[in-house]
Amino acid sequence: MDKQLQDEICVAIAERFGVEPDKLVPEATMESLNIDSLSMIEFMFEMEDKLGINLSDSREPLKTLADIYAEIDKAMLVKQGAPGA
Amino acid sequence: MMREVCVTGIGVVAPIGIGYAAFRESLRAGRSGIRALPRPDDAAPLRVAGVVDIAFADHLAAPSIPGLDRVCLLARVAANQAIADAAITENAQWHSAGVYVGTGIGGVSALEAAYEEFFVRGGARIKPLTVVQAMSNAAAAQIALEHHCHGPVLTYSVACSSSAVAIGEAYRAIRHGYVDCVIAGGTEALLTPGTIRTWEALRTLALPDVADPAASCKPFSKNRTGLVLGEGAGMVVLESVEHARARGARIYARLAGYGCRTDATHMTKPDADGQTATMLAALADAGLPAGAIDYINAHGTSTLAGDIVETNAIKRVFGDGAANLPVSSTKSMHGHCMGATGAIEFIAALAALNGGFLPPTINLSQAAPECDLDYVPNHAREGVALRNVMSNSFAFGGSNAVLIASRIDR
Repeated sequence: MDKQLQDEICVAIAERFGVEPDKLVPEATMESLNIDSLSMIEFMFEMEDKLGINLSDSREPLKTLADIYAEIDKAMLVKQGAPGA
Repeated sequence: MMREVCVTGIGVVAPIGIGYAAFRESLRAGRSGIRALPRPDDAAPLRVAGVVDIAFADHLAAPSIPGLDRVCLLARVAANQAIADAAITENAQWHSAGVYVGTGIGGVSALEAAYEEFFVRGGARIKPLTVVQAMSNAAAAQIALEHHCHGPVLTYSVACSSSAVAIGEAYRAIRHGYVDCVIAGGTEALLTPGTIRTWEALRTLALPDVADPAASCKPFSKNRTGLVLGEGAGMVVLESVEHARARGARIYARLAGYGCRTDATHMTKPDADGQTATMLAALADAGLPAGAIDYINAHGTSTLAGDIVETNAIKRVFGDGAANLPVSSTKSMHGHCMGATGAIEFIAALAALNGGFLPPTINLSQAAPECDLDYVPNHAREGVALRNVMSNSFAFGGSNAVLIASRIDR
């Protein structure tokens, strides 16, 4: 994932959940950031609108910030019509 | 043994003020919170409502705001105020507190947005939290979550009586020893385009006063034309007197009586027999004679039928004393806040009791001939010693609720 998109996601999380930006390291868990799974579902829905992507219908919980990057990355590849996506 | 119940905290978010102090001052000043709604274009009809001007970010922590319907946000602000006002300290005892909330329709903004997306835009972008935003018990649950209340967390949906019932049932639960402390009240945020249209279809809304939109709600007046919708929330902290005294709490008043009866005659047409029975039930519960009531905050919706029926019911309950009993409708100022209105008006009655004043019925230059009580027209009356006050709520569906508050011996 490119740095610019990562930054964009971090800014959105920081604003939405009132999290200190320096806590937003890839291995940070949602639990440690005090973000519950329901709020995360709503946040990901907003990111879909913002980025014009369709996230997969996976029921796997997104545990860390890295999981979120990976999930969004996957959808970005589909959007860009990447081979094998 | 039955326990005594008192009010130790007040929170209110109303079209005439955010916070008890601002609300009380508006009642004293006879200020209207009703105004013309913005119109999409000049051809759109003039619509009026009692609107709460609020920036939620000034009152609530930012992360919680996007996930909540307006009906929950209003409730959360009012509950926060009431709990802060009661100077509650969270401890094991507090954690057994209950939350009793009334709402007529719940999270209708969230539901309307989802329906618009599905039916109008043909889309599938339904917000994931729509269900938990729209469900009627969301506000009560959100309050419990925020303040760690593990007692009964219940929601009453009884149209215009919702929050009077919530307060009354909370009072009973404390009185009968099921719980020591409850955040009780109501919330409503129904000023969405679709909901307003459903009310217009019922032909019960006031025709807006074109010359002065703020004066559109005219209870008991000869030229009244119907009710004006409003939004808001009102919450009180109720405790057993014993519980309140043990923690040294400031006590506003004793919640002395509650009557809950039903007309069972018609879905919308009010019934003087049912209203009379409810006021009598509240008096009996309080152990007070009718003559002990010094002020009534009327249901006074400003509908053609409602104001006459309530006037007649008051005459039946209070007999000759009715002529000298001040009765006012504060809906003339804040509108009909539906599920929140019973709580907001109970708080208005508490303001009167504690402040020694009578809130006015504004927009009343000439009363209807059938409405011949003392409605405290247009101007508040100051310097009035009140012992016991009554607050009436009479709902569509025929469910009536009456609350009585009394000064507490200090």
